[in-house]
Amino acid sequence: MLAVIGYGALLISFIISLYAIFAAIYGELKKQSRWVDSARRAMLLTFPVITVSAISMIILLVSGNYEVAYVAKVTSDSMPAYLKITAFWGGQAGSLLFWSWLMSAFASLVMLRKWDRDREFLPWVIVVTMVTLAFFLSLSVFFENPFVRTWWTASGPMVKQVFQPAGGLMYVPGQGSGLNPLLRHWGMVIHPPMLYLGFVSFVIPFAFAIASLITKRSDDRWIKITRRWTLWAWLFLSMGLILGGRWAYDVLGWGGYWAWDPVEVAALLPWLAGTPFLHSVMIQEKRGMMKHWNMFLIILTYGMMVLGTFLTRSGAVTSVHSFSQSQIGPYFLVFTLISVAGSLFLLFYRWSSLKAETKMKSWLSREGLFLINNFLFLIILFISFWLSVLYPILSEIFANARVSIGPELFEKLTGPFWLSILILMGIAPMSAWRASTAKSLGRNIWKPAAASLPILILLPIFGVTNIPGILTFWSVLFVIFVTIYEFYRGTKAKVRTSRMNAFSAFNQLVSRNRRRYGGYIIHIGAVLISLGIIGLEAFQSQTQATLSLGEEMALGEYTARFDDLNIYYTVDGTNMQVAEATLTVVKDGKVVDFIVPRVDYYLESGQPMTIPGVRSTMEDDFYAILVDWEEISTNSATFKIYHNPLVNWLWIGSIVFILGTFVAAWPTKEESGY
Amino acid sequence: MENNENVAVKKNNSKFIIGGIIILAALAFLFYMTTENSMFFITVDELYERGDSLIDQSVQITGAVIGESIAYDSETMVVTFTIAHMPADMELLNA
Repeated sequence: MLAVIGYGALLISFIISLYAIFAAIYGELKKQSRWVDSARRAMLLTFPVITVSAISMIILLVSGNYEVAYVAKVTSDSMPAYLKITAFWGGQAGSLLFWSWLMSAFASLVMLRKWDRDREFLPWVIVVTMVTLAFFLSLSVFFENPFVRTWWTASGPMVKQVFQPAGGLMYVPGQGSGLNPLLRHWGMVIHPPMLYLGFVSFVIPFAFAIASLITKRSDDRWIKITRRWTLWAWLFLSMGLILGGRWAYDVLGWGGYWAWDPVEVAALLPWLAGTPFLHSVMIQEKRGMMKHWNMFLIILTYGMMVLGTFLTRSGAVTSVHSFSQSQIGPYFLVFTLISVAGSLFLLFYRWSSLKAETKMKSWLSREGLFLINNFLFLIILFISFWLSVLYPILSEIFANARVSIGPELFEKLTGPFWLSILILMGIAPMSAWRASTAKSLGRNIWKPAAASLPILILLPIFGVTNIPGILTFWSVLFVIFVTIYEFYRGTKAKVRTSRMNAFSAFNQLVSRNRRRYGGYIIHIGAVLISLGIIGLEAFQSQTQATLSLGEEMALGEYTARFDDLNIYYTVDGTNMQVAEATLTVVKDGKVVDFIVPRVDYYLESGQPMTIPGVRSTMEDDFYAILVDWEEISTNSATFKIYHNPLVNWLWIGSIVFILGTFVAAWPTKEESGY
Repeated sequence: MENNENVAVKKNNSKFIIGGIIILAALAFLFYMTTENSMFFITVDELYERGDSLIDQSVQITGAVIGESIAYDSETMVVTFTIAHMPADMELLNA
């Protein structure tokens, strides 16, 4: 019954979204606002209706209703309730429904804003968001229906559909297959929803941009309205990427957090387009420039978002994320091509109405440096797109060779551009809008630059010879000094003009310029993340050995002693065989920790999960993996150990990064009406 | 006046030409680096066909790893296993 209710609600929401598109276009063309209002109400209605569908799915999952094929595929009796809810987005059909649910929530939210000043945008925002929603709903309704059940038919073959075929008997498996063990991790509980939130919320600025193009607006109103939407979208996307990295570090057991897997890249691409967009819109707001560019960037972000989803689900590129592949790829590709081509056509059609109000006077001005930042991000985007998507596909089409590219080339080719972005983070905040010369910029920048330069001499003296590492350490220090200097200068000026104490002056400075100072906090987060990345990329070391009980293996300053191996079967219903080793970690002759690397073997699915034992400090991580063991004697086992310097700064930087985005996105009094 | 305009146009043209050459060179470099660092996905049959030409190259082979054949030597830390060509070897495996 619940399956029928869920599917019925899905079908109704699809029809409602089609109606909203029709009513909005008809109302706008006939200038009948009641039709547009009706479309608005229809758009608002999609959320409660899809919620019925989503809640039906959650109840089916939690209650272990295996008559529904999706429930049988992604859950099992041994899974706890929270993982059964997580299974909602643990497979293809469920994640598409989840996506539509989030999309409808955002669509409804945007409909609840005050539209008095921007009435002309309304019908076209409805059309763009509802076309996107209708497309995703159509995938669920026609191709990846999460509510189908399995039936034995009278003629023999089994069929999957919601309703009973004539003479058909329902097939209900006694037990479900269970969620992929690799997805049973807290990072994986939050990682996909965050990515989806990032993806769907980028639809809103895109919808306003298209509405602005259609209505021939040449001002920055669409940017002002969507500024916070964009920041939230960017925050969600960033959090999704970070959590995915954390999951890989904790669960995949290879000592790293990012492997440039095509699906990882697919999630990174919209971020690489959205980040320059966030910077570039400031140029339009301040200087009335870059109007074409901003339109292009938001179209690119939207296109990358849909393309990313296509890549994850089509199997067009080979990836470890293959659990969500299916035959819906071609539909995604057609939708991506039509939406991007249509948007670009509209942009070129309106090209002449988007002329810049002023010209750029200097490449050293804030706008000039922002533009360089944009180019750097787009170069990284192009390289990533080429290596992970375009080249493998072209190679298969023209050379009939299926290929993939390893992470080393990504790092080699994009590394210099990442470093350049890092250095720009230190320079751009010190440059002025409009006119800025090398002399004026030098005057602003010399103090933090001079303070950071000694590290270039000190590091080689202390034995650090890795050039990219040294340059990264310097740029990290440089950006931190610049940012502290900026806060200091602003607070000092405030104290001088307002006679406040330093604390109140600082507080007022940040609260009245949240975007600017939030941005600086994000920069601090980004450089701390860089510290973690370079620590791992440039200074990671590893070794592997087979040890008997009591034997030791050494790596750098660390020694690990194999003290115990415990093999047991779980009795809490998780149905696993667990192999758990105890290693005593010794540093400089002192016992500093005991770590327990383990392998969980899921008996239902026959899949192992390697969970590292980690000693984590601000200085480094000592990361051990249990590779193999002798089950009968438990006397010897093979371990792989990694020394990961500075990696914790990656996670600390991520928290700072998120806090900064909160500060920047928090509305000021003037923005509360948006 | 006209001369000045001609000079400006020539300057712009040369900027475009230099910019174009740099972009083309960068793309050529990218293409070269990509082809040099590609890893092939091949089938078991293709592996036999290509023979020695694949020595020292990174390849990923499509097939089914036969579970019983997996052997891990803890001394040398080398894993050996047999891959079946799917679906051609399916009947053989089921026999």
